[in-house]
Amino acid sequence: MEQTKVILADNEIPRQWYNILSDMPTPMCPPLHPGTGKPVGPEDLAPVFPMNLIEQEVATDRWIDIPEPVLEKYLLWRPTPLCRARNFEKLLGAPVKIYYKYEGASPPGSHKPNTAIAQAYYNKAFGIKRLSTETGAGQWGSALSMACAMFGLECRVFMVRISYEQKPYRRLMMATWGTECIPSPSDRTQAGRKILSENPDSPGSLGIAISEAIEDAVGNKDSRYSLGSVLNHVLLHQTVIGLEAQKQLAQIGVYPDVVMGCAGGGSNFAGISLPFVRDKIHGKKTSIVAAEPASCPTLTRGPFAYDFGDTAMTTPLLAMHTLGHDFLPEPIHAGGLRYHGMAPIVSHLVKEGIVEPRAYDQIETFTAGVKWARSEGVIPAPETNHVIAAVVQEAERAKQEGKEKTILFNFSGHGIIDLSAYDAFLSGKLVQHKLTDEEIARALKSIEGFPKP
Amino acid sequence: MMSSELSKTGEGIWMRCPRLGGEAPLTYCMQEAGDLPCHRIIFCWQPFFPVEAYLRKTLSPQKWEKFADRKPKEKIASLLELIEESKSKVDA
Repeated sequence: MEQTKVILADNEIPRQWYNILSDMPTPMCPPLHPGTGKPVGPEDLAPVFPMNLIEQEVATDRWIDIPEPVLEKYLLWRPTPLCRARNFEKLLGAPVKIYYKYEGASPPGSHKPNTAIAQAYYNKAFGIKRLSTETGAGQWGSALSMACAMFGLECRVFMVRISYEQKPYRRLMMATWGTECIPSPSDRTQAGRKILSENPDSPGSLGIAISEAIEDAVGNKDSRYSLGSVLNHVLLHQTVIGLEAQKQLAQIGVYPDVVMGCAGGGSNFAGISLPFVRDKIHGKKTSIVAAEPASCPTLTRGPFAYDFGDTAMTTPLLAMHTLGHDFLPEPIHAGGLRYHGMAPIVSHLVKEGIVEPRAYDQIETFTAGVKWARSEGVIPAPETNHVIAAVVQEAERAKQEGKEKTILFNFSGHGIIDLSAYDAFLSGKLVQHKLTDEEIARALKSIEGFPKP
Repeated sequence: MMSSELSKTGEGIWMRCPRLGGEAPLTYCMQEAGDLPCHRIIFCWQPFFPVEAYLRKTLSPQKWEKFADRKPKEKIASLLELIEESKSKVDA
C-alpha cells in the first residue's frame, strides 16, 4: 500500500516559530509614521496591540519559543497532516509528486487559528479582556472567536455588512464561540454612525470595518485590536506550518522543488514558505511561488499584469492601469501583490527575487478547485483554489519540459462554509467573459439610483 | 437601496472580491471606498467591461483626480492613521 499521509506525533510539534527577519539578505525598510515621517516606535502601536506582540513585530531573533499554553491549544488539531495528492496527480497526468499541508483540519477550517491562538494568548497574558477585529467573509473573525473563547477573552467582530448578510454560517460560528458579531457600519462607533448618517443602506467595506474595530479598541483600556494577516508577528506564528512540513518531508526523505501558497494578505503563503525561503537563502535550489488573485480569464483576454518595480507602493495604482490596461503580456506573468493588504515581508522577498508571484483568475481557480474536489474529495476554500491553479500550471510545465518535480503547497482551508462561492461559479454568476453591451447596460442599470461617488 | 437588495443587483456579473473574501456585485465595488470606488475596481473589472472609461465619464473631474491619485498605504501606516483618528474621536 502506498503511503498517503505523514503524521507527526504530538510531541514532534515545533517548539519555536521561525523569524525570517533574521535571515533577510537585505534589510527591510522600517515602516514610517505617516504623521511624523519617523520610523514607527512601539508606543505608536501600543493603543491597539499589547507590548508582547509589538516586541514580536520588531524582533530579529531567528527562533522564538512558542509558549506552552499556545502549544496546548495547537495540539487540538496540530500537527496537521502532510498528504500526498495521488488522485490529483493521476488526473493531471504529469511527472509531478504533489504534497500538501492540510490546514483545513483546524476547528474553523483554515490556517487562521495559528495566529489567532497566539494573539489571544499574548493579549490575555498582557491583561487584556476584550479583542476587536474586522472580518470580510468571516474566516478570520471565526478563528479569532474560537481563540478568544479558549483563553476567556471577550471578542467583538465587525463584519462587513454585505458579507454579514451573505454568509450566515460564519457569523453563527462566531456566535457559537461567544463572539459579538456586528454588521458594519454599525451604530457602535463614531466611524460607523457617520457612514450610516450619510447612507443608511451602506453595504459596508473592509475599510469601514477596520475603522470601527480600531475605534472600539482605542476607546477602552482593556481592549486591543487583532489583525489576521500582513503583520510580521502574524507571519511568524504561521511558520509552524512550514516547520512541520519540513519535519514530515524529512521523514520520507523528500525535499520539494517548488513550494507554493496562495497570497491574499500573505500569511498562509508565508506560513508554508518562510522556512523553505530560509533554505533558499542559504543555497537550496527551490522555487517559491505566491499565487494571487487576478480577474482576467486567460482564455479570453490574456492575463492582466503590471510591473513590480514599485514595491514601496508609492505609485498610484491607477496610473499604472491607465498606462497598462491594454497591455497583453506573456501568458504566465508576474502578478501584482502590491495592493496595500500584502505583507511587507512577502513584498520584500518578491523584490529580492526570492519569491515569484503569479496571478490566476477566478474562473481558472474555481475550475482547479472543482477538479481537486472531484479527485481528492475535500472542497477547497476559494482562496485555496488559487494555489491549486498554480499547482495545475506547474504540473503542465513539468509535462512540457519532461521534467520530474516535487511540489509542496499549503492547503489553507476547506470550503464547506463557502459553498455559495461554488454556487456562484457553477451557476455562471461569476463574471467570466468580456461582457456584451447588453450585460454592461444591465450592470450599469443596477447602479442607477445608487449614491453616486 | 438596502444592502440586501444591493446583493441581488447585477445578476450574472459578480466578481470574487479578494479583499472581502466573498462575491460582490459591481455596485459594491463602485462605493467600496465611501465616496469613491474601490481602488482595485479597474484591476478587477476592466477585463470585462471598460470600467475606466465609465468612471472617467461619471465621476466629477475632482473625484476622478482623487480616485486616480490615491496611493495605497502600507498596512502599518494606515493602522497608525486610524489610531490617531480614533484617539481624537475618543478624546473629543
